[in-house]
Parts: sequence; C-alpha cells; structure tokens
Amino acid sequence: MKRVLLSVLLSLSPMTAFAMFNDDPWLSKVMAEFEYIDAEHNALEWDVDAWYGRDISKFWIKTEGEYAESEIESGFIEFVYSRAYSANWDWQTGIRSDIASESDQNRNWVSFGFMGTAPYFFDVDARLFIGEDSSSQLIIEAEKEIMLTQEWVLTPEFDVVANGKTSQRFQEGSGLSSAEFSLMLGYEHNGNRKFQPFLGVTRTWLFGASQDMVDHDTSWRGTLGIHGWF
Amino acid sequence: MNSHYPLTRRQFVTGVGAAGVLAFGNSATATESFGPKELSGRYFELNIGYLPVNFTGKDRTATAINGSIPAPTLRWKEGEEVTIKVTNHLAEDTSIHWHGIILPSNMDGVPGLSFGGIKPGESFTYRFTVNQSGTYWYHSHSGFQEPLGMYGAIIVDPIEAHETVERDYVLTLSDWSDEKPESIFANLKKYPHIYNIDERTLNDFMRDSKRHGFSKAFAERIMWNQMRMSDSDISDVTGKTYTFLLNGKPPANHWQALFKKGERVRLRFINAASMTFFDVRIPGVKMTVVAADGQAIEPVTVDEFRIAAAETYDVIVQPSAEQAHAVFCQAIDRSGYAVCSLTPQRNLPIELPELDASPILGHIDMGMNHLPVNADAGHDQHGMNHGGQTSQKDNDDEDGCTEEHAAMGHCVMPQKPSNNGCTAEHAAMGHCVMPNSEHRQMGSGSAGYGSSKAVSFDHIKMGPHIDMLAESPQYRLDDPGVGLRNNGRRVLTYADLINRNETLDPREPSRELELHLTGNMSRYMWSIDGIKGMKADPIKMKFGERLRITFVNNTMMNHPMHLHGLWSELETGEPNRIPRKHTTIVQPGSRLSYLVTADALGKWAFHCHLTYHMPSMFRVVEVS
Repeated sequence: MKRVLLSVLLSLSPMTAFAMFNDDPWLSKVMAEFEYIDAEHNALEWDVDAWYGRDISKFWIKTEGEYAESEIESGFIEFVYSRAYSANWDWQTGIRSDIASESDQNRNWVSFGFMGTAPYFFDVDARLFIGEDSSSQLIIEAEKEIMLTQEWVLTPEFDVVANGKTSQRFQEGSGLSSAEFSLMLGYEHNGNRKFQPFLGVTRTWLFGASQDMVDHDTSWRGTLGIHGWF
Repeated sequence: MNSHYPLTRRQFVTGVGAAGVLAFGNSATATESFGPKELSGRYFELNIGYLPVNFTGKDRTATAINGSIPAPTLRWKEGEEVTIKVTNHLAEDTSIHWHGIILPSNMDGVPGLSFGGIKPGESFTYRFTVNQSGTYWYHSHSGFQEPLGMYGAIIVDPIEAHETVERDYVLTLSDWSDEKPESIFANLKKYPHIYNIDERTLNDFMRDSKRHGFSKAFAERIMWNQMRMSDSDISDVTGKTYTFLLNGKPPANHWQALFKKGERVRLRFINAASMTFFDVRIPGVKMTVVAADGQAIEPVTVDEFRIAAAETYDVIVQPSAEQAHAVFCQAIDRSGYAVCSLTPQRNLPIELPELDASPILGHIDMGMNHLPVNADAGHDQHGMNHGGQTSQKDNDDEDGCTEEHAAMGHCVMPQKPSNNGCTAEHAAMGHCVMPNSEHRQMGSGSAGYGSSKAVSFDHIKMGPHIDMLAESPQYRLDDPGVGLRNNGRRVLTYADLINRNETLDPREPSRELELHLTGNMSRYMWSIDGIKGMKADPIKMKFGERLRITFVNNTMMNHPMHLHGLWSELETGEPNRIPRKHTTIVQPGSRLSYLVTADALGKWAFHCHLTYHMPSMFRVVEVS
C-alpha cells in the first residue's frame, strides 16, 4: 500500500530533474465549430469538443446542438473519460445530458464508445448511449480532412444515428433513424492550422419510423461556419 | 537575489526583421557583423541571464551566456586544466553541459545526474582537465534554456596540429522561435503536424498520377493512408515558426567570414539547433571534411553534408577569391535556411541557391524491405513547388532514378553500393555485403562491422505510445538520408568516416545492447524500447567493459542520439580506424551500431538531442 501511495505521489510530483522538462504535462484543447445554416432556416449549429488531460488519460466535454428562433431546438452535453488503448484509438465512457429548450424532449444517458483515427485518416467518434426508459442510441461520426493545397481543405463528414426502440414522445423510430452528410471547403490562411472559415453543403436523410415522425428539412442546405482550436 | 545581470548592460541582439528582403535567387547584401567573442585561457567566468532579443521584428526574452547569442567561444588547450565559474542570474535553476568533452561525471553538468544544478543567484565552478582537441560546444541542460539561446562553441587546440590553416571560423547553426518552447511542445501534443507546411495535397497526387500513372500514384496513397502516416513528415518543428540562425544572425542580416586569395579556411560547423537538421553546402566550393564531432577523420572531399542537432563537423575550404560564396544551410524539410557569406571583401553580395524540393519519405525510411503495393510506385520528389519554393532541376529525368528508387536499391547511388534489400536474417547469416568494405561480409559481427544478430522486437513494451515497428531495419551507413539521395552532389555519409588515428580499444565487444527508438507521431509520444526516460531503469555498464550498442529506429524521424561521458565508436567497417562520435544520427527505419568502452565511472545521460524528444527518448547510463 505504501509503495502504491509512494508511486502515486511520485507520478504527481514534478519530473525528475535530469529529464529537463515534463514530457507528459496536463494540457487542454478546445475544438470549436460554429455553423450558420442558410437564411431560410436561420439556425446556428454548434459542435464544441474540449479535453483536459495527459497522453493516455483525458477528460472530455462534448457538446453539440442547434439554436433557432431563440431556443435550443436540440442539443446535448457529454462528460467523458477517455483512455488511449492503441496507437490510434481511445476508449471513452461518460454521461450525456440533453439540453433542448423543450424540456420534455430531454433525457440523460450513459455512454460507451471509441474515438480515434481509422485507416485513410478518417477521424471517427462512435458511441452507444443507454438512456432513461431503456432507450438506446448509437451515434457514429466520421470526417476526413483532404488537403487540396497547403491552405484549402476539403472536409467530408458523415454522421449516422440509430435508435434502440421507437418512441412517439421523442419522435424516433427504431433502427437506422437518420444520416447526415456535409462537405465543407475551408481555408487555412498562411497554413495556419488553428483557424479555418468554411463554406459547406449539408443534407439529412431520415429512415424508417423517424421519417414519419420528424419534421425535418431533407434538402441540401448551404452552411457558413468557422472551425478553430486552441 | 536575481540581479538579471545582462539587463544592466542592456544589449539588443537584432536580427532585422526584414522578411522578404532576401528573395530566393536574388543577391543580397549583408551588414557588417562579427561572431561571438572568443575567451581563452584557463579560467573563465560565465554569467547566465535574461537577454532581450529581436530576431524577427518581435521583442522576446532569451536566456543567454554573458549576454550573447551564441555564447562566447571558449578556446582551450589540450592537456590543460580549465576552471569555469558559472553564475546563475535567472529566476530558475540552470546548468552547463560541455557537449562532447570527456570529463568526470560530476563536471558533466546534467542536473539530477552529475550535480544538483545551479540555483538562482548561486555559482558553480567546473574544473577538469581537457584531454582531447577539436570543435565542441556547450549548452544548458535545464528546462528550455538551450532553445532560448544558451549555446556556444568550444575550440580545443591540439598539442600537435593536424592541419594548418590561415583562417579559422566557428559557424554555429541554430533555430529560433518567437513562440515559447512550452507552447511549441503543447502544440505538438495537440496537433502533431501543426508546423508541417508541406502536407501531402491533392495537387501532389495529381502530379504523381500524371508522372507515374494513376494506379501507381493511387496505390502509393493507399499505403500511406492505410498506415495513417504522412510521407511528408520530415521535421516536427519547421520554418513555419523557426528563423534559422548562423552565428546568431538570420538570413536577412547574415554573418560574414572574410578570407584572402589562396587562403585555406577552416570552418567549424556546430549544430546548436533544438530541432533542426541542416544540409550544408557552399555552391561552387568543395569542402574537405577533416573532423567529425571534434575528432580528426581521414579527409574526405564533398559537396554537401547533413549535420544533426548537436553534431559538429570541421571542413577546410579554399575558395576562389573572385566572389563571395554562400554557406547555404537548408533545413532538412526545406522550410528555410541559415546562411552566411564567405567573402574576400566585406559586404559583397552573395548568390543564394534555391531551396531543394521538399523531401518525401520512402519505404526504406519505414524500415520496409518489400512493398505491400506496386513496387516501383515512385514519388515525385522533384518538380514540386510548395509554399513559394522553387524546385531544383529534375535530376530523376537524367537517370530515371527517383529518390525513392535509390532508397529501394534500384539505382546506382552516387556513393558506394548499398546493402538495401538485405533482411536482418540474411545479414545474420552473412549473406549480405555490408557497406563500405569488401571484407564487411567476413567481419560482420566483429568489432568495427556492426551487429550480426537478427533484430529482436520481443523486449519492446507495446501500447498506445507506439505507432510502428520497422519490419526490416537495415544498416544504411552509406545512405545520405532522406532528401539527399541521388541529388547529383557528393554528399558525406557515415560510411565516409574513418578515424585518422588508430582504434584505441581493439577488443571485441563482450555484449550487445539493442535499443529500439520508438514513438507515436500522432500522440507525440517518444520512447526507447517502448519505455520513456522517466520510467526506465538505468542502463548498467561495468567499468572497463567494451560493449556494442545497436539502435533500431522504429520511427519516421531521424534521431541524433547523444551519449554523455563515453565515446560512441561508430562501426563503419574500418576496425582499426573506428571514428569516435558523441552524437549519431539514427535514420528512420534503419539500424546503426557503435562500440562503447565504459571507461568513465558515474551516471551519464543518453538521449535524443532533439529538444522535444529528449525527456522521453532518454536513458541514464550507470558505469560502476
């Protein structure tokens, strides 16, 4: 026990002097994307992920949603513990809370998933949510940055949502419920990888029972946004 | 307590932030400039303090020795005892390490190993006898003080000189960033390719398709994409944030070395950069390399050489006096250059060559000996035009050989034939011709020839911190390295290094230590054998023993490995004339061996000399 305590203390203490500096400091990163969806919808979408942690273990906060007509149409926030388990993948587990303005549309969930880089440099975030009333939801997001030049970046993004059961209250059908594809053309001025304004197009497809229950525009929509990290 | 000494004699080191004044290919005029002060004798006083600097147009605070960057050149005499009193005027601990000097462990200047470091306001007096001659350097071994300006040259004059020259100059290369080193490190952890301004683009792919056919180009992309790696990943930190300095001067305001007609000039190159490898040449002037890491070698005349962080090379030149010559030192990734002029008259303009095309890693750099895809899918290494750089002329059109072909052993190299295509097993069975020596085959495994063992990966601790293993790492002593292969110039390689003196310890190594350089670029984690410095047990050596250290580089980066206190005797196939180094480039995907005689008691640092790899790719060597 003493040894465990000692090693814990040692791992917390500043690094050994000969190492010159700590090679595994606590760091934080915030990645934010804000998108304005064309005039007709007049909606603002946000997708903000942030982490605080070290090489192997990190705490994440992820939030995304849509804001229109002075209220949050839909949205959630997740608190996630993440642990690296292979060169390219992290296991993640946490809790999610829905934050739509219409409070009867909100549920709390626990999440299990993985995040990382698949072959061909697809950044993938896949997670399974287990919610109240034995509901469940699977969300898989994948995107890839294609460098057209050192400044112009094309980013295709593909999201799918599937639900465990049909629910009238939450307007969702079981099985594959929706898919969204976006294509964004961003510009990194002077090769600055930290900030990227972009223009995009996006389209949603609805499937199964969700098709009948949700009133959602499934045509192509134009978007204008910024993406940045610090 | 903290008197911040240099601030009282405020001195601005200015670099003239006139970016763009020096257009590529244009001639440039330099303002009058002098090198760092030279201090000689047996007693020295060094004061470490903060120094306001401006290399790029922005005011920054550096850490400096005696208020100068580079620090004063220390001129010692072989056989003499020197005493150096170092006083710390910083608000944090400091230290000075005498890089490449063989001395007692308690004088080596590594806090936590040699001594406790020098506290703010305190002094430490180093005293040791100098038993070697040549070009070395000194730098801080604390925090990020070295990248912030704490480096200077050491010249040890020999008792008996090998070469007589009319002029003798120190050329110290370095890289300066206006970003704080802590921020650079954090950026690398968060977004490892942030400084890469030569990312593979769709444009490159189109060009490759045009040149090599769509299917070949596509297959090549598939391979790299499947591996989730980038073949344009040459330097972690680049000219995007660095201004490259030569004797503390940026290109826009370069330093000048004067000479007169007919004079032989000795240039002592020291790479004091924190992260940059430089490829050095003087267009139109042949360089005769006479010393590597301070140690005399058999003279070899070349057009170009690569110098890793912490290496030193002495070259002798005899330039024509009709014009000023550019000493052109391009960063390995071609994201910039340092330059000075070698001129018969002050302020003559120099003709700057264009930067070479950005290098592309080949399969050999991944330690592969066969291809998962189309074997001759070659990259278009030439004819690229990134970020305003103009590419050099198409060499591959002349002989139909791309850099990658060369790496694959498909072309005749400008130097000696390579042993590429030889697996470790083959080598172990003595089936391969090893570089630089006909009798290499016979000697394989014995002192001077490198290891005869098959590479073993069993002892590597695998995990999220490792993204690749080199499946078939080769000895590549005669490989000038990525970006220099088959460039039409005679480039120095390690196979060229032959000690001018006889090997002092002719014993066979009694054992071999195989060390794997490992890492995960996408998490920016580095290690040796999958274990990082702080978590590793010391490497124990028995006093007096002769052993072999064999490196296997399982990463895509070049790593300059530096062993303190003991010579690294590089096995280049000349057992009686083994060259001695203190810092050795282990090329990506390669294998390299050197012999060590553990003749100095104590604890020694052993690490990659790239600043942001150092604490992880680190071992303590304990000789007892």
